[in-house]
Amino acid sequence: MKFKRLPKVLVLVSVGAISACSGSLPSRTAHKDEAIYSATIDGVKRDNLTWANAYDAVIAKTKATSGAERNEYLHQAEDILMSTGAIAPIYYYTDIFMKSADMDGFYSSPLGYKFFHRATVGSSTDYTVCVGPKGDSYDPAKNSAVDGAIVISHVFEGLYRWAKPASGDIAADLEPAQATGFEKVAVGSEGHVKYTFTLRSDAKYSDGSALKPSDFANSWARAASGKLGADYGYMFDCVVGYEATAADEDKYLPLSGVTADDNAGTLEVELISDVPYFLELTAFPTYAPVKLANVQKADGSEDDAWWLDPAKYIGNGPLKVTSIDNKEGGKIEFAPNANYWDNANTKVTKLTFALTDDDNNQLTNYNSGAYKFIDSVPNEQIDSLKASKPNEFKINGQLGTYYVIFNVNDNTLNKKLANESQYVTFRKALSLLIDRNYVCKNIGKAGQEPANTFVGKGIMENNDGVLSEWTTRSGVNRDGSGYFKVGENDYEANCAEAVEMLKSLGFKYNEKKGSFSDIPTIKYLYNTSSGHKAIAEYLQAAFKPYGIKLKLESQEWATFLNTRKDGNYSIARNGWLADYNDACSFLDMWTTNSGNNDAQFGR
Amino acid sequence: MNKKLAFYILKRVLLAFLTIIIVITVTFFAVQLIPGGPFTSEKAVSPETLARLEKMYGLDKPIFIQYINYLGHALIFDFGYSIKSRGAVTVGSIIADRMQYSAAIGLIAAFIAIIIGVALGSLAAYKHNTTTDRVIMVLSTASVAMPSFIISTILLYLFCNVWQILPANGFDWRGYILPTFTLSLYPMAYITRLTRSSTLDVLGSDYIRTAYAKGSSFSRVLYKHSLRNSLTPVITYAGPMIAFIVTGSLVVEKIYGIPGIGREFVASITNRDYPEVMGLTIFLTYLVVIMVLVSDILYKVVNPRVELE
Repeated sequence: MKFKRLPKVLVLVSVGAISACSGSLPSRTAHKDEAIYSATIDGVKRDNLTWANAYDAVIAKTKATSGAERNEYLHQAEDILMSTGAIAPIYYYTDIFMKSADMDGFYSSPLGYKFFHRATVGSSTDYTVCVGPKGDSYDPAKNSAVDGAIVISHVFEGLYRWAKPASGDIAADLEPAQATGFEKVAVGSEGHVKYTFTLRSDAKYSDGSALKPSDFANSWARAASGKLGADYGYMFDCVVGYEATAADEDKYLPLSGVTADDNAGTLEVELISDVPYFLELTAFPTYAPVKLANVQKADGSEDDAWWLDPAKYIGNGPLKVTSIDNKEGGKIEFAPNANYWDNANTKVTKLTFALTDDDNNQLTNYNSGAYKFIDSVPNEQIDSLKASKPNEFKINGQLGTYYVIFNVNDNTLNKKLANESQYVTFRKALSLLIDRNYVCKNIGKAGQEPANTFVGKGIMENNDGVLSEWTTRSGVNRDGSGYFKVGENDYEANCAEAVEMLKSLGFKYNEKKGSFSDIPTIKYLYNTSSGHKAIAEYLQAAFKPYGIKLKLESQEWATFLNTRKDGNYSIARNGWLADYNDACSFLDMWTTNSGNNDAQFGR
Repeated sequence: MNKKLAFYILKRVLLAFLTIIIVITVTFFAVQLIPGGPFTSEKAVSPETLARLEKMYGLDKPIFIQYINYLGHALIFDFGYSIKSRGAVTVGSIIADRMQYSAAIGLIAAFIAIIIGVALGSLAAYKHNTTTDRVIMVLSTASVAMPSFIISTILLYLFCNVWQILPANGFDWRGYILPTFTLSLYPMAYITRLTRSSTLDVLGSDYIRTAYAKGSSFSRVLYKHSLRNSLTPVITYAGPMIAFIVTGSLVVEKIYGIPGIGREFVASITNRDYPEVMGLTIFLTYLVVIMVLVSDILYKVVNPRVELE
């Protein structure tokens, strides 16, 4: 987009530079968006649909239905997605960290947001931890990083919050926080629902001023607004009025579905459908109530630096920031918020977040006792730490999947494969040749589990009152068998099946050598990092005996993202972390026009 | 003579100015050519949001308009706001803040390197072909050859992990000890070798023999006749060296957790934070250009035989 505005000479230079780093650009060919997909909508099964008529239509149904019906549409979306073979899940992510053995009272949300305000280290209530580097912004509306969310979650509190689990480290339930409870009723005939939250009458900001329902309504309008243009503005897309607010670039247009009554102390929120994750969203940082007077300058314009000033960075959470030095090697200091409603449970007297992105430096400080908790561990140290500090090295589940993505418009094999259906078979065969158990044990090393679904482990679904894990109902038979077998003993059979599939495509197979002789070399793209490189090299080694040659190519992070997004690759590494605990957080992204549709489905 | 020197300086300043304009221009277009932008992220922002953000930071304007706007501001040292911070901090304040660490550590390291380097180099030359000379040469060769990431890792492991006598982060003066030492090691060794060879040259020359012959004492020969001449190559080296060392070392800053300018620079490129990349580039160019200029002039002062062109 940017290049169009460059003068001619520079365009030539830039195109040269891009093709030099990403190889020749694949041209779009005949197999682009062939009508080969099937979907069952309103009980009618139709075949030979384009991507938009199959996948996009099913996703649209998930927005208009609820409960078990909606879950079935979500499962169907995953069926269609996996039928393309373009997504080859490798493993479900885990969250690893080091925690001092005598730290007590710590917990984490399912999204990996860590909470320290209730934790003590031995008898100490004043300690330092490191959860990541300096933040880009600790403004609840603008932040989109996990470490930023951790800071915000200590300083702000939503209508609901994650409850400290009775045992273990990971919170599973939400509990009333700034709200004391809610009522939910169906509204109209379009499937809308309305939540009416009752706020705590004693709710206050840390500066002692009253926190009113309108503070929530105003903060939400700001966060969702086109004027602010926040990355996570779309987190409000289930609220009635979001489209208009997001389109308004001049003011924080109030969300029409949100009504605050400061006298009654209630907040009404109308949603476009009964999304099961809405209560969880009210605990999400983007939904936090900021003090609007503090985020704006006297003339009403945004004060972009308000969050860097402890006097202005006023929240309503358990802690308040007393000093902030936001840079690499800097730190943030917190003290208890005297005006918080639940201070009986706050244990720390002072909490310090050290800010650094170097995991070796973090580990050195952890080993010396300077830090009591670190959120990342150098990959090469995992084995030795697991052995030497088993009580401190922790592995938690995380809602995300590491996967290999195929560009459906890639034309590398066009001379060998006639149509998209053959490409599907080819991609599925390659996926079967990956020994996911090996990758988890010998490369990931952090307790990852082999994946045979795209929707991550830990995602829950509620079928009319029966709560179950998504992966236990995954696969076309809804029996938890996933989309292929990933047992320790299944690999051999998988490989044999892959060979048969490749033979069926007409590739020349040498029975003696057990390898194919006429499969063109394919490029595998990954971003520069030792972990991704190790997996890329594993894939190369795993495919080689079968005569499938991978040419590895690494790119620097932002370049890589750009190349992948534009579809200038054949196969690439990919990974996805959910924004909230619902399968749609994994499935909405594959609609034709989604900015995250890196596989280029339907394009 | 002074008029000549003044003219020389004026010419050099103008050239330096031209250099800076060229650097601004090349950098400006080069960063725009790297694929990706400041709003590229794993989770894509919607096209509408992207358009709004680009408008907010003036990135929607034609590139030449952006360039002209930028040039106008950059020449009066207004580098604008960091995009990555979403407009929260100015590039100027980032430079000022990071430089206090890089400059403190860099200047101390440069000072140590010059003082100890010259002393050791002279000692090695006067004790030519003795054990002292050989020990100094072996040590300095080793220091030049060992990359700083190895030295810093070993020091960090020993002092912070095993003995736990120094902090692993460079925040108070105790935290400065290891990074300054690590940073000074390479230039120190280099200066040692430079001083040694130039001193050996000088000590073998006719005028030194003359000085001894007319009855000058050893110390007089050393300070009056030899040192000044043998320092010429050191001065040529010292200017760029100080600029180099003060502008930060990514490796040392990263390993010791110092919030310096080196890692900030690398991060700004990774983030495609155009204003920050530009601001840092221009600032570092100024520093290097000034230091080279100063060392050229000093070179002339210690060695009047040098002809200015």
